[in-house]
Amino acid sequence: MNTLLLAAALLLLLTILAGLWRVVRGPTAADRMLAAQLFGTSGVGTLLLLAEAWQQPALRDVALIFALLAVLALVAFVRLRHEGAE
Amino acid sequence: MSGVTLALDLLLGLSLVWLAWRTLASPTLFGAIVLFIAFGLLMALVWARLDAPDIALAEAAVGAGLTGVLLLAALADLQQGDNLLPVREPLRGWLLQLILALCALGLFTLLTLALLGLPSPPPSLAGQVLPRLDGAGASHPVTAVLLDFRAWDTLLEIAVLLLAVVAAWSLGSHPHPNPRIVGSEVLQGLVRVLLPFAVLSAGYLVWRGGFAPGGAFQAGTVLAAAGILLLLSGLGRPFNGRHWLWRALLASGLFIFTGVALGTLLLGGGALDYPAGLGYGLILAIELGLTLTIGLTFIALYAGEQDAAEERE
Repeated sequence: MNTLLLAAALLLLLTILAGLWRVVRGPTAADRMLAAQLFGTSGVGTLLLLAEAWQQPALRDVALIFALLAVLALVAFVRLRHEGAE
Repeated sequence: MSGVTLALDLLLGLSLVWLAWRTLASPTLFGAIVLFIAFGLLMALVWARLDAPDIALAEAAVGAGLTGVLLLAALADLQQGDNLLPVREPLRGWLLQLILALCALGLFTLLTLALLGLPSPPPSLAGQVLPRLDGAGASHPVTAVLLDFRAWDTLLEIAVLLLAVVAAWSLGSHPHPNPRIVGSEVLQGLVRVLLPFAVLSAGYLVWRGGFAPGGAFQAGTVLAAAGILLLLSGLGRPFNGRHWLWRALLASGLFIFTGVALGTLLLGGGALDYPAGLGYGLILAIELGLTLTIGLTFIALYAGEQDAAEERE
């Protein structure tokens, strides 16, 4: 069971790395930002799996913070972006 | 260690180094900010792996959450000014690059030697902290160290936070976003749903800090995120750092902390040496004050001093 959870976490981590490619390549600012947003969701999933696998209940609180704050950067990006950003 | 764990460790470690390199090498500032946000997220995962959930919580809140907003706001400021955007020029000259590479290699060697030279088991203060936990005001070792055994350090840290706000305010103010543009209904609806959860979570994190990973820093950051969302959506009244009430609240954490220090000093036990039985209550009071102060500090750093209404005039 533990190995299964860890393998699932590993898979999620690999999807994060796949998303990183989009962050590096772009081409538009929105592409980069949306990929970073996706990490928030994958990060929540990874942390919940690791909390179960390593019996670390505190990691669920880390996931909670991720879930709450992930939206912050996106809202700031939409609201603060000026014409000509990239 | 199973193969899956090893793969997880390798992937985390290598991607962290790769991200750090890409962040520094990013040709645009915006790209660097997005990479830095991703770096914060992976860093939090690494702390989780290193069995340090307290730091993972702080990294998730500050590194992956708030820093991104502060950096984006700074970038928006830079782009508003004409040609203030610094041009990122790659390092020129093979000699300079060679010297830098040698320096980095030397540092790497030193760090590796230091790591290999660690005695086994590595030096730790856990042996001194854990037996004294019974008499401390908090049963979670990290909180006990931060607010009981080494409370003096934390007191000075809060003073530093206040100094940071004073320094940031002295640089002038740049209200974000343009106060004339109100956020869309979708954004306002989202903020209305999210806000109660954020405040509830902040309260939960402070309360939990007494006996498990959590505490004022993480809770204050979540509170600040809620406040910045209010400002970004245009739902809340603009933050006005000149109002005496905001200033009083900004300093409240330091006031409560100093008050407790003076009170315990007058009682004869020494500053921040809590009387037996009162430790938990005093620590909770300090933590609540700190949460408010830390939350407002981040909001003040983000919003600057001036009232947005004043700026319009």
